[in-house]
Amino acid sequence: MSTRESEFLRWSIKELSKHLRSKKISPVEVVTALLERIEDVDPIINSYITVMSDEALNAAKQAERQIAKGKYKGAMHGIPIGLKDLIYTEGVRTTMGCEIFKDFIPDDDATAVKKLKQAGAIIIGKLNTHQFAFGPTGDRSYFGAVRNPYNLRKVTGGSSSGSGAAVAAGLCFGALGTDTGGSSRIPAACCGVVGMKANFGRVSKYGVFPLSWTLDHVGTLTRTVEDNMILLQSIAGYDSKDPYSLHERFDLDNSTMKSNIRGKIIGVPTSFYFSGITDEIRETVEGALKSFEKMGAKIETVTIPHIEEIATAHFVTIASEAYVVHEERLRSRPEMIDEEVRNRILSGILPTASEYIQAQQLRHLAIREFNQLFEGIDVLVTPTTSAVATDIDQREIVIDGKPQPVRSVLNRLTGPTTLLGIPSISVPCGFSKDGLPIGMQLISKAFDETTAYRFAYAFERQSGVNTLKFDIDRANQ
Amino acid sequence: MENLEQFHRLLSEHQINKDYFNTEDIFRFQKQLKDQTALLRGLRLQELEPVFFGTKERTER
Repeated sequence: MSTRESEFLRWSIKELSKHLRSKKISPVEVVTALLERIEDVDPIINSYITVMSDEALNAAKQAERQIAKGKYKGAMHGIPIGLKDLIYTEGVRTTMGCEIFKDFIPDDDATAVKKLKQAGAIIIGKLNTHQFAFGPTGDRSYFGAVRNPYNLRKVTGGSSSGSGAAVAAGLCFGALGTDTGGSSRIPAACCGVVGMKANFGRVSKYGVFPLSWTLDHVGTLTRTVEDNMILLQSIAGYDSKDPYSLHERFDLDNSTMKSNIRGKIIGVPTSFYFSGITDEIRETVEGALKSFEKMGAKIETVTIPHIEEIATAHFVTIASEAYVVHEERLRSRPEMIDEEVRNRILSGILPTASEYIQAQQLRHLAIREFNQLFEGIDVLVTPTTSAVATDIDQREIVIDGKPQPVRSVLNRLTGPTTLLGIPSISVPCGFSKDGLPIGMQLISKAFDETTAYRFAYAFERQSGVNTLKFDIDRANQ
Repeated sequence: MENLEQFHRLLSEHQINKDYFNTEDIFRFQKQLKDQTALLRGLRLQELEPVFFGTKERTER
């Protein structure tokens, strides 16, 4: 790889976009170099299930012609983006990480994919996923575990495992994931990139294979906060094909995002979110809070009265709905579903109808409690995960002397705001003593993605935490 | 559900072959689930109804 190639593959979307627009670099040059890097690096990361070489090169040639003729479409024009392999692509297999769908070829693009293509983005390939998106580790896929670019023995977090790893390792410039309980924010935290779950209904789910239809969101993963906003802007908007899509105004505002946070109030929920976490997670997030204070923000301790019950309601909802999604497959082809995943799906047969309904009632209570909370604060700050990335196949970890399931350690802190549907973003806030990334979650009130981005952007500028792991230590496998 | 046999009967009613699943683990998990969802049941009258009826009187009767 030439010096020039290794330089532009490290760029952010914003930086690449600037050079594409000014024709200092061509989309064909970018895609060719990226495909070479994927061929070289991905055999050890395993982030891609399908690399769309021909389609990407054709799209790059088209983008090159359009830009040359002065028909520049905007910041996503000519930018290579990866898609979690749960997001339908017309004519390109979409596997859900499962043997049952290994040859499934959708006859339509998901709306988010159509929007990306309309914005001129180049789809570079389909990214690995925890099977059916039902797991926060990313090591249960028919196509094998995805390896963390920071330590190849560690998980990437999931379920958007390939999305987190590919963005971190410079194997795409941004990626779409999904998020039903943290599946975009968890891999973002474990792989040291930015992961956003915008408000429920903000991004169409038409053409996205469901896990739990009242909780599913499409997520965006990038290396910078500004890139994340650019990517989200390109896929957001009402879609009549998605019954959960909302007409709510979308006011993502670049100048507000970049304005300072002096005098703004950060709520820190001390119980639940800061209990049962490792010391290095606590210390790193507390360090980030001190940075916010230095920038002029005020920190206030807050209480969320029913947070434990909210977490339970999320669990009941996801288990019940996932069982309904997969019931026929459990009956007819259980042997083709990963053992851990199929046992987890079957557990959804257990909640009763009344428990499911109570969980939905609690959702209303939770929305009321969070609305009240946001009357007094601008943003909530919490850790994203309770521990850093664990070993591949590890299923238990000891925290504060107590053995805990890895699944819960990874997704406990991200589940509640999926139930509420409010914007939540994970930004890198430091590294563990072993060099593994740590993520901080910022939560804003309903439909206010700009505020979440504003605090995330302010922190990113202040901290300068690295979000690219370009040089992979191949010996550490 | 009182015992594993009842769980197996439930699976049979749903035409799900129990041999593909670790039913003992899932059945044990049921206990934990019931403990958790008891939290929701405990809240039902005191906390949830006012959300829908907009008044506390109903719960204070």
